[in-house]
Amino acid sequence: MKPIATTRSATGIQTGKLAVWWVLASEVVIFGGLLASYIMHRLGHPEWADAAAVTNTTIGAINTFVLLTSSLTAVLAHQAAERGDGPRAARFLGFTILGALTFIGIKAYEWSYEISHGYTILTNTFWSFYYTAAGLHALHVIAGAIIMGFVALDARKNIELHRVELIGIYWHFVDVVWIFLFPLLYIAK
Amino acid sequence: MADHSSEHHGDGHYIKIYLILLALLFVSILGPELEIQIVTLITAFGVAVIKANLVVGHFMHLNVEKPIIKWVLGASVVLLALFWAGVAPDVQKHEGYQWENLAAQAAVERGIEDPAEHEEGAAASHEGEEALAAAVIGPPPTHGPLPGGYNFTHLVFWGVVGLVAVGTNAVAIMLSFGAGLLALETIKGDESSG
Repeated sequence: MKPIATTRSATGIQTGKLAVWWVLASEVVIFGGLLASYIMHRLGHPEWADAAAVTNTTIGAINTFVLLTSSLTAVLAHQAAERGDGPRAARFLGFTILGALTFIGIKAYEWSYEISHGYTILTNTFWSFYYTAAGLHALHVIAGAIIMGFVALDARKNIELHRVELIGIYWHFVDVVWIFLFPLLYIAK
Repeated sequence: MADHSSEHHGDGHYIKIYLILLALLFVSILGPELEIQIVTLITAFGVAVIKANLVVGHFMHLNVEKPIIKWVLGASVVLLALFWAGVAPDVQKHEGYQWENLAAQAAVERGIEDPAEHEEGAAASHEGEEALAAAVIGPPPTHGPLPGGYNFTHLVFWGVVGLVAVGTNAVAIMLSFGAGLLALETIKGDESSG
């Protein structure tokens, strides 16, 4: 028998999808609040440009490329799930997880380099924001990759294929956050 | 499965969007090379908005999603704008009518005069500044045992303020949205049964 509460009658939207968008609405305020605070401080403190000049634009750009590519594989996984092809969806989710691991690996290298050169979270307020914003984003990347692993395991056996779209929506949001972090932390010198 | 018409697109559509996103990434990297501030601002932030729009519209399928999702996200953006409007005058400006933020002014001055010293933290604060601050606003801020001094205590303060503000907003969004949904479904349920 089909469970009765898979779609909310008031909105006509699948319950799981509504929940994901609901979470993202609160994430908008969480990341938005953090980034808004950063921009306000940046505008009030011209001397932050000296600290921002140290961040590595090339590494930031490579990580942007990695996340954009992982977003493509996430949406291709969704397409495969739409066609009922679970194994193909799982394969694309696997590529997305690979993207997440690459992103975290590059970030680990970048942070080790910066910390070993004396730029830590306590160096000044710019670096505090830098590590807090990028760190909170990295936590979202790690959480997304773990959940994606569980979804992919089910998808491979053609189980709960609708979840491929749900984790995809979350993953694209993580990508969108980085799209704004990249110019704020790496380009605006 | 998806309750919208995303299956009209083939894989080729998403690859096309991806290639546009990569082209935009190159624009945002090359923009600052011209070293014209307005061009950097447009290529960095203007392009970021276009990129985000493409991802949200095509990859997240918001452009074919039901309007209520846009309303929920819109509510978050409005709350964010309210937060910005409320806090910006205190953070972006360092003086105003009958007030002056001496600590922030000193931080700017210190950073511009000697960035290296600024980066090493504000522990090496100037005695003259502290005396001035004491004369106008009372005792100087206490420098805790942790390194970072001024910066760290202020970060903690604004962190707590921010978390409380953001957390309250997020919970308010979730509760009001859930309550609205329940009310709507109750009304609809009554209509269908009656």
